[in-house]
Amino acid sequence: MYIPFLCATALVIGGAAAPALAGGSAQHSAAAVDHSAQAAGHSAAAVASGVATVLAVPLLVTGGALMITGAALADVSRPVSAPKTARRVAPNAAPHLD
Amino acid sequence: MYRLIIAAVLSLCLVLPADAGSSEAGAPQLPAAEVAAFANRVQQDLAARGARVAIVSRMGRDPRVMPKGVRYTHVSFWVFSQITDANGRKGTEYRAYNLYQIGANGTRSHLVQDSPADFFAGAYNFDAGVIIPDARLQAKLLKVIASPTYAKLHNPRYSVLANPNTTQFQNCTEHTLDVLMAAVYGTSDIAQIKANTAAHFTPQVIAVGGVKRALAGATSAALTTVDHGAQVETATFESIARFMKANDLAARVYRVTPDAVYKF
Repeated sequence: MYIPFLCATALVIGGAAAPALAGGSAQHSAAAVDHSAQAAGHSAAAVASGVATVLAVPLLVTGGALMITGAALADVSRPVSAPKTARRVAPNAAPHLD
Repeated sequence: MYRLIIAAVLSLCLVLPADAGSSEAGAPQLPAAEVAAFANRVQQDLAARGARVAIVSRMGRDPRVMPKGVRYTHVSFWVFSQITDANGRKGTEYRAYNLYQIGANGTRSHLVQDSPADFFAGAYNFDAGVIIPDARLQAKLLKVIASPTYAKLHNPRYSVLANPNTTQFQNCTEHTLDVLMAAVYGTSDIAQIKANTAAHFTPQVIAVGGVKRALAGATSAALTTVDHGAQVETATFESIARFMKANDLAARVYRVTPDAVYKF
């Protein structure tokens, strides 16, 4: 007896919920299905240049003009760490730069 | 009847995406050549302004379906770097330091460096939000990003709407904010960072009603809001920009499109 009502409610609420959240709806979900395939295609394209990153070092020197001389490069993963639990501490003053 | 029930359940799943638009190599929505050209435009713009580190955001979804006050779906630090490729050739370009959502249900994340072109690979349109920190803050940020603190501040438990005042979950924007606070206050103590965030940072309020909130959490764990009180608030590019401007931490805040640069 309640099933049609529940279904209709779910459909209506579902439709109403979409805009308030991240959006995308059915189109996005459909895209997500072949996400892996597309990601694989993207990686292939990135590698097609024949260039792969083995090292990326931040340049800490200040001053002077900056020139972009690199090319499209591959990913470098970073390790993950365990989540931390915050304890109650007093905040510092509002931020300011020396 | 059962088909109707299944359709109803599926409809909920389809309209509540647990992907915040911050996944690695998101589904390409734009031509690769144009993506590469736009990525190059953004990094050339940053280089011309002498930025050694910047906060850059991308628009991974149609802004018309985003919550009010939110336009950008993914944020990362871009760091001017010396690159050495597999052939030993050296060059200089920006590297994007990302926290990307991963996992079958999107409830985990990892830290990944990629290129500007990779960063924009999943963009919905060519519109980048950019914050160039004050030069003094850039120096502080570089030290944190190059230190173990950067990874230490990563919490792999992902939530699209993570509360920036707690350590229960984290998304890309919250990690960016945590690193920013670490640099500003010269600390890697997450409790101190959260205390300072709660005291001085105003997050973006997300208008999610009780029913939507319950449905979202039930549909995907990545859409959980259990770390929030009555109001759902999260860190966004826009709220970080407001915070930095209000506290004189930013040298420039602007948008880049293929044709123009706009004051933000």
